[in-house]
Amino acid sequence: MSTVRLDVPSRSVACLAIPSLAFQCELAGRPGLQGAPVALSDEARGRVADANREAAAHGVRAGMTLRDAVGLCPTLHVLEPRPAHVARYADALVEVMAAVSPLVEAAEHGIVFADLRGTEGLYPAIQDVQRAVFAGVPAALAPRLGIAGHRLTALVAATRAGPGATVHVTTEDAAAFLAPEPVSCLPLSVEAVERLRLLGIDTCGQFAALPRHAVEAQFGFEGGAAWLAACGEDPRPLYPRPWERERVVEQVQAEPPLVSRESVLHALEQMLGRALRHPRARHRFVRQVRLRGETERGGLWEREQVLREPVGDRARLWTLLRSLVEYATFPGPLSLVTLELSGLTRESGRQRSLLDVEQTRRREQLDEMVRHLKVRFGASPIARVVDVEPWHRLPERRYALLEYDP
Amino acid sequence: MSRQDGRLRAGPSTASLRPLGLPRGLTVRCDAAGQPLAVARTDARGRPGPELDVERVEEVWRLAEAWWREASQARTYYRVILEGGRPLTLFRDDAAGAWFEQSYTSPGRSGAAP
Repeated sequence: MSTVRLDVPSRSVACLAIPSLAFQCELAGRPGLQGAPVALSDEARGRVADANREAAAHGVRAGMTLRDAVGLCPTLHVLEPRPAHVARYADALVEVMAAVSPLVEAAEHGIVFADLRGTEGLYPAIQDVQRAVFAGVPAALAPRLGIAGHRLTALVAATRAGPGATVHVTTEDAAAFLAPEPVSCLPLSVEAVERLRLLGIDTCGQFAALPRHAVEAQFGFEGGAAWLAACGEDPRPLYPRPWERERVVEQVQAEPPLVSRESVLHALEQMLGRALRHPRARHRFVRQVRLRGETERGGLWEREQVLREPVGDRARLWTLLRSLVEYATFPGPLSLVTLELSGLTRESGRQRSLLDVEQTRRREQLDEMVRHLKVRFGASPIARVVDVEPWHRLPERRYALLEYDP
Repeated sequence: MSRQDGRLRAGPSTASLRPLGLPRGLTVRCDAAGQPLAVARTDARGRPGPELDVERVEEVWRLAEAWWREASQARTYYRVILEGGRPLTLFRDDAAGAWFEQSYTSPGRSGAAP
């Protein structure tokens, strides 16, 4: 493959796309199913969420009931979805792109953008970018890469690329490249797309041929942005994920899985203590918390909360986390719980309470003592008894000692 | 760490929930029907202590826990009176055949941690 030096503006954005990520993840782990009709069920296990070409040849379509699908194709293999499994793959894809560029945006499961500006020295040619990206993605997932000067063009290029291939669109060719695409790919609301269709405007090319002022008069700012996108100059920037040093992630693996809400709360309480003690989080305030629980069978529960104001107080953070867990409906017993604190602010002043001075003083004394013990002996000998599953028939599963972790 | 002890595995160097009331190994002599005839407790170093005869078996019950999982638990509990009148609760792990000592109260009845 020959190496061609390319102009920098036309390779500002890379988009890694894996269509039907959930389905591809399941198929990737089962090479024996290659060539067989396979369908992925939805989470309620009642309908077909996706089907491969062999199943589609029998008439199996997404949305039909599994009963109908098996009726059409008696040899159909039905796979159950494992959202946690898919989320792990999606995270891995983000890490792959993060190895190429520090500015990475996970748009949705299976679509990751990376800002390539400034990486020309590392990857002089498009093939170098392709090699770096595909080296980290299993070929069984059929990854596709799109590279362009702007976001929408890169996304469309990735979806048009074949499995394991890269499509690069230069800035000059972007408008012509996007012209045959349907208007539904533009950053417009469903109503706006419907209006365009009623007006007989079905493709990006037709949309880009309209005068910009006319589009803005009809669809406002959103229309103007979509018009630029259709012309190959998508004005939407990438929204990179927070830098690693701006996040603290704590995990607890539970074996056997956590059945009760109380046991999840105990685990979480300890994770919060550890997270706040992390050097990255110490004396800093938190703007965002994310909680994720995974079941043994791949079920996923996830909550993200942006705080109204940055919080550095453990008690206030605990109140928030507690409320997230107390109102949660878990998909099953949790085998892995993850807590992520992000949006860490710079060090800030703390206002002491005037009312509970004595209680706060005692707590601080205790915390200080435990910290000294941990420094001296490596672990705190102070623990408290907590209910884990008090109703459990096996006595050792009912109560536990939780290390006192200031 | 075994699958049975219910401990949470956390970050690399951090201990987490430590279960209370874990079973302790026991050496048991049984009759042909598998009923305990004599028990010998092991000390902290795992050495068996003096053997104590079982005067009578007061109660026998069976627990099968999470039988649908690979790491299922099946236990047969015995509440016995040892020579000298001392009560003891022990169980046989039906899968491994090993004997353990463990105090047992019905769930929810004790109302407090051991």
